[in-house]
Amino acid sequence: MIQKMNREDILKRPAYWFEHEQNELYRQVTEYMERECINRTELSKRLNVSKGYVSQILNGNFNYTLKKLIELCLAIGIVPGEYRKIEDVIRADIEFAKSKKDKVSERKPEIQFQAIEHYKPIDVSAILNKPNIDSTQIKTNTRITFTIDPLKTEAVYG
Amino acid sequence: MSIFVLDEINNVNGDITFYRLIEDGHCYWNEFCIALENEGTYYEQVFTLTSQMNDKAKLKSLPEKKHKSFATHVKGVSGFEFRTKDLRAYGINAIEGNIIIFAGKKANQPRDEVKFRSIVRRYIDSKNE
Repeated sequence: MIQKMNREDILKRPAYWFEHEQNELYRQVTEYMERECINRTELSKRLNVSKGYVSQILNGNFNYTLKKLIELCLAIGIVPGEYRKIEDVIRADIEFAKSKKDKVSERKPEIQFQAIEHYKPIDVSAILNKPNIDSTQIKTNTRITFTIDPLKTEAVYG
Repeated sequence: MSIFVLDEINNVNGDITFYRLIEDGHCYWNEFCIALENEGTYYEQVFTLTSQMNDKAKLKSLPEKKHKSFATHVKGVSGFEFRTKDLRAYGINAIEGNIIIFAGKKANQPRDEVKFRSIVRRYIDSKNE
């Protein structure tokens, strides 16, 4: 099931990349239109395609042949296909996630845990999986901050 | 009054953090995914939704047909929806990041929209309690 899946499993799913490529093509064509200051009608004239074809691209639903994709890309001044090893993609993805976590941990503790700010006190221990917190001493909707050191976690309340 | 918890969706990796909302132990997003997996029919489209979320998390634009703002009918709370051919995922923009509140099939959209707004109202009320 998807919640048991890790990011690596998802990055190996065709549906994930199919959606990504459709939306990337939408972004490339939109950028081209903005750069050239043209509307859909003008674009369809330049590409010598129907307005319906342009609409499909701009709705993120391009699913034509590889030949059509190449023609479209070249017409808007780009080349298709960025072929990378899946291992490299996964590695870059993991590194991005790690750098994001590092940035979060560099912040002040109250920012780190701002998402749990509004929980009722009884849930706090369970959420953080730190049963040593005496949740009965915390009032509802009290802002709670924690020290970064997990061994010395203490609730500051009031 | 319901108890709400936000749980980070680790499978979405970008500058914006995505959370799933848990109400009294029920995660509507997870339950939706499990139901789809058991049915089998639209399960692949969950990965399509995940891809859309990931693009948004990376601050990339999406076609309006796939991602659009959505009225929550709660003052000061802006909502959004992700769309695939047969599925919808509804969420709100919050200080913490993007919160996926609810998801459903396109066929049940009118009913799901009511549910979504009802959950949002309860969630915001709980924060204001």
